Amino acid sequence: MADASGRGGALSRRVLFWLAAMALLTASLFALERMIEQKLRGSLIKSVVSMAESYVGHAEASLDYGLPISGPGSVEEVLQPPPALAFGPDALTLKLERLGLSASGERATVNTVRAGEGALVVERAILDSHGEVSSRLLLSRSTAGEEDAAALRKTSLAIGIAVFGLIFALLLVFLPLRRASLLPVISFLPAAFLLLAGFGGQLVTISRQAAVLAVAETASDLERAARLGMTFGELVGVQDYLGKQIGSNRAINQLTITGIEGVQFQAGIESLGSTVATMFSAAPFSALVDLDISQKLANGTRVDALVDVQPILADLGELTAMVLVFWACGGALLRSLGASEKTETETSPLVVAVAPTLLFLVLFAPADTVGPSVLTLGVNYLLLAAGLTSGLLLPHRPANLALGIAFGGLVVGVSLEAAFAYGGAGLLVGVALTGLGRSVRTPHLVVALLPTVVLLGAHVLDLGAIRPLLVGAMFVFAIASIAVFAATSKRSWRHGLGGLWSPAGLLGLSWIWVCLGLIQASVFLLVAVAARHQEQQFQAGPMSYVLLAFILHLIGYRLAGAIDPGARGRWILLEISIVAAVLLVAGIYVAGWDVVVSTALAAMLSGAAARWSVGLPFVAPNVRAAKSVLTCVRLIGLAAATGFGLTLDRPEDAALPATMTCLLALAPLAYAMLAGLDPDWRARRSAELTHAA
Amino acid sequence: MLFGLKRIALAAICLASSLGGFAMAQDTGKRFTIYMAAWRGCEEACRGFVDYIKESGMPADVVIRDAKTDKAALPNFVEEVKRTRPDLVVTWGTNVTAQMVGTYDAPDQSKFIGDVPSIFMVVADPVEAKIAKSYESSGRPYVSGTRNRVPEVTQLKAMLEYRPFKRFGIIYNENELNSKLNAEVVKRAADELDLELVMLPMPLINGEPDANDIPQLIQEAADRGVEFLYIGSSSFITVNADIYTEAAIKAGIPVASSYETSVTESSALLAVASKYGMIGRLAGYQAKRILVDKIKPIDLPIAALDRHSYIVNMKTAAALKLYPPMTLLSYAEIVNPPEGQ
Repeated sequence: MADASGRGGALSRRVLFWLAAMALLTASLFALERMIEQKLRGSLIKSVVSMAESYVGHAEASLDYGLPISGPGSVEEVLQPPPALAFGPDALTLKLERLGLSASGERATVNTVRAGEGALVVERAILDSHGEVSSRLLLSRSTAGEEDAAALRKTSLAIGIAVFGLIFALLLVFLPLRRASLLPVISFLPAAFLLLAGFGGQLVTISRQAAVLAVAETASDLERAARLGMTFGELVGVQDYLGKQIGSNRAINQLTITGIEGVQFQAGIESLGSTVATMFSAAPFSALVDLDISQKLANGTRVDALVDVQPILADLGELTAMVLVFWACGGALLRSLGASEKTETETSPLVVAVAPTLLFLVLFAPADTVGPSVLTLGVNYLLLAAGLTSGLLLPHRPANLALGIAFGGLVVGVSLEAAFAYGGAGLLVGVALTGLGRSVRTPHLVVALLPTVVLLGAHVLDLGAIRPLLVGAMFVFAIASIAVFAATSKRSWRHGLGGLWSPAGLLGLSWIWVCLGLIQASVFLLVAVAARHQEQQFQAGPMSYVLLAFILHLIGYRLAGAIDPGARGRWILLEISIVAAVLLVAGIYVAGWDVVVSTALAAMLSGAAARWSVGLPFVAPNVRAAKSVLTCVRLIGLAAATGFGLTLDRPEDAALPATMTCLLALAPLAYAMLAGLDPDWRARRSAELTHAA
Repeated sequence: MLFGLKRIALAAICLASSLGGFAMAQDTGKRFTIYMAAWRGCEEACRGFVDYIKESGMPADVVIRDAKTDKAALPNFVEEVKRTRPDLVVTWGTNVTAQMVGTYDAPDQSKFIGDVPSIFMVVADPVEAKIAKSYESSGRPYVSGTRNRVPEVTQLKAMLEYRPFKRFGIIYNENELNSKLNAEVVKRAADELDLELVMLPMPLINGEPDANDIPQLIQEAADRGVEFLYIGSSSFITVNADIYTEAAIKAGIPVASSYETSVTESSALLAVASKYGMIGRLAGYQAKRILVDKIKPIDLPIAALDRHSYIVNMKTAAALKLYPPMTLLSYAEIVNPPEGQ
């Protein structure tokens, strides 16, 4: 009977796991699909608007010349897109209409974008030579191709998920849960990358259409010059002209004019995009994606251009980052669910992740969603950090009172003044973390980030009002944190680590944590500065970049754990990784390196440095304790640094001080390492610690 | 007789239709009557005006009177306007405007159309002609209009866009007040753009310039390192544009002009001009503002175009080996293309 109930329990656990895994997989892939659809729509609108605007000048010049607006030999006829673009599922058509006066004596408002009935229509005003809107240009772009592709994507996803679900269910019967939990984690990535590859291909198609138009325009001007009897040698200002064409047509980044004798003129912008485009335009990649556009003129001249892939790479990069974030968080959750039964002395990973979840919900919430506040967001983050620190340092007795105050702060904060909510949340999380013993570690942080990632995803997808969801989630996790504390507070980790806080030995131990905290906080501050610099790039707000950088930090931490070079090696790698992170940031300001890429790499290196730092001598009685303390220190550093980064009027002013702080904080650690490597010193130190305890 | 049978019939028909229009306007409160006094028939500006009225859907009838370049017809037009009281009068050119609307300082205003709202068009310089007190407003309750001269700074910038230069020249006629004044304006524009202007007044013989002196002056310009020649406001130069432009080609100096005809009918290289059709449309826009938007003429500025036509003579360009830059080719109007094109 016990055996039957045990089997029943295991079966229900597997069913629940299957449900959770399939829900996560389905929701994430369909959310990604919807984001792809949104981005494709946005790119298409931008591209068609850009094409329409390039037609406006030509239409106005032709009308000034005296051509009729429509009919044979008219402006409308002259400006029609080339035949290659006029047919097919992505067909372009152009129409010009005169605008009459309405009953009120005004002309209709133009400059609109309308979508529907299988087409996207961009309307632009054509001005008379005295500046009055006299006509409108309508550029219509069929969306049949995009709609077919979206239908195919959704169908393929549904079928793929269904098939995977069946296979996964079958495998769950035979494989251990821990091993089977890897399957959805591993399967998510190829599915996501297939979606992203399709997305990239469609973006290329959209850009290619605009590029064909740009090449046709250039070819038309060259043909006109040839008809006027101008040879290549007589063309004037061609480089300026080609530069202007590239500047006004974002779809291309290189233009080449080739005559019978070879290349005559070439202009282009050297960038990552042009390098990638050149690479893909060569075989065998050219079979996969066609980035080269060419048009031959009657006199043998050829105009070539390369599609600018830089915007495509930027869009792909943003979505890949979102995939990575979700994969890390969702995968951590599934692995936690699939982990073997723990002993009674160990706390379930989901329970450990409750308090950090509340912290991250408040920290990474979209702007102004926690509640109204007269203070700036940066000050509120500092209050969060202060509350967190206070909660961690509180003795056990006032902890219950503190929890009550913190909860009250949350209630007041979400309705009246958000500062109370930030401070209260920090205090509540800090107290709750003390009850978890030595359990809080990096994998728990990754799991804890999942609800925040889901909320940010819903915000990006514009699924509705986020605030009610956020506030609801905050209270749920606040109550859960209190419950966790009530259940686990007897095993307060600070009680077991008393010796950690008492100054002893040469200079005391707590200063090491100060140094480590300063290093981590400095890197997080540099990330916050980068996020403010690049605010316009992040659809979900600058804090989404901080979240991504924090995930990379956690990934760097995990990857560094796989390397075990010994005590001396850990110290060397720690120093190198911090110096490398500092150099990466310096490269932004000195060498003009990309802000996002450099700070992302710096965040990853700081995670690795954190991992190697837990193995430093004198840090804590054991590695597990060190990891827990480091986790708390990093959380405080993240909140405080983000607060500072958002408060500063000129965020770039913080870059140099943060960099110097990083390097200066490294010095005492180096001293401690040198001491720690000396066996005599280690022996004396251990004796001092034992005496202090 | 001033009026032929045909003209009487035309006048009668138009009068009837305008009266009908008045009646219709009174019945429906909608249609306006616009009385246009043309100097030499319904040419490009007139057609531009009529097209604008039609395309905009303005409820207006345009009654056209053609003076056929005869000043004597104008007083009869004034009388007709006073009698029929159209909603708006449009006058073509400086002569017609001066005769029908009058200058603001004319001692006897009763000779003109008085309190009937009017718009003038194809008037090169209404301020100098004392039809308007300034370009910001005519300063006259019932008068507004358009100006078609392209500002000199715009002209010079267009020349610089064609071919960068530092020194250019202007040949002007001191016998013409407008030519002399225009040369001063060009000088100020040159100073504004940090360009050097070589000013070459026509020698006067018995107070009159001689066209045979033009080639000599152009050679002098070439000797002084002039890179571009500019034809400003001067009837004398315009009339002798062929001599001027041919001599310039021989001296290897390109000529830019404020007159379209210097390029289309002579051998100037380029002109930035306000096409008459566009001026007509601009006058139509002013008419709309007065009749439909109910803005008083005194509250309207003397309107100018935002865009002008860039005209290039390809034959001259080939002769001088000074082809237009590619950036201009996409929108410039080309005249005299190579044969067969």
